[in-house]
Amino acid sequence: MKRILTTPRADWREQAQSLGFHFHTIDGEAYWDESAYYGFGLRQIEDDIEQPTQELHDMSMALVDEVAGSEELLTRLAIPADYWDLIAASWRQREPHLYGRMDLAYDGRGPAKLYELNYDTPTSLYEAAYFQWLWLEQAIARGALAEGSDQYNRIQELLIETFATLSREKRIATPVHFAAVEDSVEDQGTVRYLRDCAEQAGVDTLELSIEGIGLSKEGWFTDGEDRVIKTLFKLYPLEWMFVEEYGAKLAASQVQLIEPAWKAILSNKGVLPLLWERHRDHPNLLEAHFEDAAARTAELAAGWVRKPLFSREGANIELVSASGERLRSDGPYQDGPTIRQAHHPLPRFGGDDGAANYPLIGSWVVADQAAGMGIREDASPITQDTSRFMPHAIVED
Amino acid sequence: MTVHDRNSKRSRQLRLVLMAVSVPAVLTGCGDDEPSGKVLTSREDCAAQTEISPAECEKAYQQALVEHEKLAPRFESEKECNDQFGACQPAPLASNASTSSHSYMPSMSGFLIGYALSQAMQPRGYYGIGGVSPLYRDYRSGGYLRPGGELVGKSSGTVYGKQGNTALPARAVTVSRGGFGSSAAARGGFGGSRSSGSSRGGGSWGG
Repeated sequence: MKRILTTPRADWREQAQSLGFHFHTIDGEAYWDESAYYGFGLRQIEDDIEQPTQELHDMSMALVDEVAGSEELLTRLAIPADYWDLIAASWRQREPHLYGRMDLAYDGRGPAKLYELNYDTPTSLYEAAYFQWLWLEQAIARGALAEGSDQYNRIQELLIETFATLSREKRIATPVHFAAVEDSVEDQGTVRYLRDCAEQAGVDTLELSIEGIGLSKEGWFTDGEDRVIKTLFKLYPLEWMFVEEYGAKLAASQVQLIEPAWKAILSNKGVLPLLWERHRDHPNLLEAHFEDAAARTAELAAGWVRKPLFSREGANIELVSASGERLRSDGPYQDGPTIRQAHHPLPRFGGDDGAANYPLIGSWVVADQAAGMGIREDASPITQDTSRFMPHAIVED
Repeated sequence: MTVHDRNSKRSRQLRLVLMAVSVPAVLTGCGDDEPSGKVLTSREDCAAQTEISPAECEKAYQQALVEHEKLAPRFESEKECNDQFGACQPAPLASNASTSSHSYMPSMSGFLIGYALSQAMQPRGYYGIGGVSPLYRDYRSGGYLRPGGELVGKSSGTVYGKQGNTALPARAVTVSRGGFGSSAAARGGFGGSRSSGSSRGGGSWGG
């Protein structure tokens, strides 16, 4: 695994604009960054990323099966009791799921370490699945990368295949409504991209905003033109829906959610200690404990990270490194139970002018298959405001 | 569809149809003679059948009762109601009713359990439940009717094809809006902004 400097395509911004990648630059700062890429060997990809991703996913699904029917475990995850039936029913019926992303720390040598699962509302999808792929094809075409260069990326292909299968087996009702928060350009872009994949699979789609969802007197959800919403892809946290006004209407509305209600289990940081309890010393897991278990958390004295059960990606995190350095991030999740996970720092890679870069691997699972990866890079091991998406290539073995 | 070369870790061909240009979609059809649901006449029927998990069946019955309260056909005249269904009673007044005059509705004389679209991985061979509807027996025709008057069948038991369809209708009148999204508003947005806990996030806090 190497960080390799390269010349950006002169027209990448124009291409991004014309291909719907409107969030390539956010608040004036580059988000898509092709001034460098990460080069991997095939063995690193297959043995250290793909295979562990599949294994961690399978372990996580086995955990859902255990948690969905256990009041004790649902309680430990602080999932509201009002939604236990909805979650259990959605799992019993094996309501289909589409995708998830697990974040891994990997330096090219040791086993990749699982930071967390983002299994309900994962983003950075379009840039990983499509724009990164296009970058590689064009790099090969113009001779910037050797003919045999490759990329670990079947994400879009598997998304389309999954939509096609769900439609053929009538496991989703059409049209499928896709919803994201009204004023988020990035989330709207992600949802538009998923609609694109669904349309390519022959699935009829409609788009609306989360705020635009309505309710009929029968208790069915409706869109802005009074169409009943049968299948709803929502890029919006399940645990937020549960506590909002329409949350109590979910069960009777007959709406089929994607991601389904049982994903509320896997988007909860409490799965990290539960996985550790069941697979102690697994090479890809970091030791983790619920913070109510005081005796256990004491074992993590050498450096740990505190995460709220319901936090998303870097918010309300508190970190104490092995050397005793303390850091905190702000966010909206101040209250509520937390977990403590052993601190495993991100690897550091030098850039031009000797700048430090810290890559985080986002390893994608589509339906139930390890599908590809995207890398987000930060200039610091502790901030979240400067992350950029960097492409990757498989360049030698 | 894309092609995957076994020797490659990436897809060989990808395209976009919606993000670059707009393309109309194809729609799937339906309709066949496979079992699609079951008509039950009472809660006790749940214990006497083997297609649906008895516990799920009980829940479906309770749900049908809730739907019944909301959707049962309403009549201005008690006689008119009894002529068709019998055992009619005054309907509860809607909380937002503009008049205080009573209407009449029949008792629920059965309920339809529609099977789920996909029967993949159902435990012990039970059908998954796709939806539930209260039913009303029309004493003139002997048929079981849905709240909207649509005939499901003349007898209880398994129904086939479209008759077991408990899928949602295409349209319904919206009576409220905006019941989702308040958390995002309260927290300054979900995703989008890099400074507000972006959904893309940095995640580099690691641990």
